[in-house]
Amino acid sequence: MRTDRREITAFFGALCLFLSALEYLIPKPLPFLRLGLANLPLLIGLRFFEPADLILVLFLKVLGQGLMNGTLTSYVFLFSLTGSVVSVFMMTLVYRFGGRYVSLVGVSLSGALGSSLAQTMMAVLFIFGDTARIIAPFSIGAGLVSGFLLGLFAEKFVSASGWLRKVEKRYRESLGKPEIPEIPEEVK
Amino acid sequence: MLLLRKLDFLIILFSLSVLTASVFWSLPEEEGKRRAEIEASGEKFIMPLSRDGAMEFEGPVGRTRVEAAGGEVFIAQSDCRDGICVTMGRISEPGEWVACLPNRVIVRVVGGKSEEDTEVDAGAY
Repeated sequence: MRTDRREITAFFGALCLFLSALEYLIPKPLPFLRLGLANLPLLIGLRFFEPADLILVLFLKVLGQGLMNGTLTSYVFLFSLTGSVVSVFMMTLVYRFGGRYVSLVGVSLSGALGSSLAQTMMAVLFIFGDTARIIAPFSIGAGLVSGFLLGLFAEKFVSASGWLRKVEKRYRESLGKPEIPEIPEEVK
Repeated sequence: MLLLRKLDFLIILFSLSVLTASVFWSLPEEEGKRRAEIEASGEKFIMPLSRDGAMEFEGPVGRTRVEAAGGEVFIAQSDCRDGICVTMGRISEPGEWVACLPNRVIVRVVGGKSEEDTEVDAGAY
């Protein structure tokens, strides 16, 4: 059924929205010290989503975060958008090329790294000027810690969740390729 | 840990090195001698405070004359309407500034702190 694909994509987008709301409840001592819970659906969806759907989930996530934090119409939204796009790009890259040599911890870390680097660059080049360099280590450090923890959780979740197996199966069936693709031999 | 794979360690290592690099990158630059940084019509000029001197800048409303004397810098004359820049007086401490906004001239003092600055003042104490 084709609706399954749509449904699952929308569901993951909604999950991002929910997690943004959840994260909003957690007090932040500093604005850039965030957990990035909303990245979780992207992280666990990376293994089965088609690129087009993954990008859709990405934009739903950015939209949801903007709505939840009330930053949708401010310049903060640009940070969020840039960070998320770069992060998903990095994660996809690492996931595709890393194959079985990389776990979601590494994938998540590279996403966090890409995101915080992009945001720092943006702050320095376009918005706050050179003085924004001072927060670079904090923002990158915080991003790495939360990226690591999130990756660890995602890896555990993916290997343990029966729910995710079912979702994956439904998604693949709706694509018309029910087989879970094997990692090709030459990667070894 | 069983969970982590080869490439993960590489990524962790890389991330940590980027983090270390960012720490160095964020450190303030070498302070150097105290000087006045002047921005005029989009360009940047540097004027030492250690000796007296004067510079003139052409702006949208005319000329602005910046002078340095006795370790202080000030706008001596400007073709602007109100002359606020001239009345702002003399500056010498890092972080201080005077500006002639109509003529787009901004003068800021940057660089090393003087001896008395490094001591604890009454406010901090």
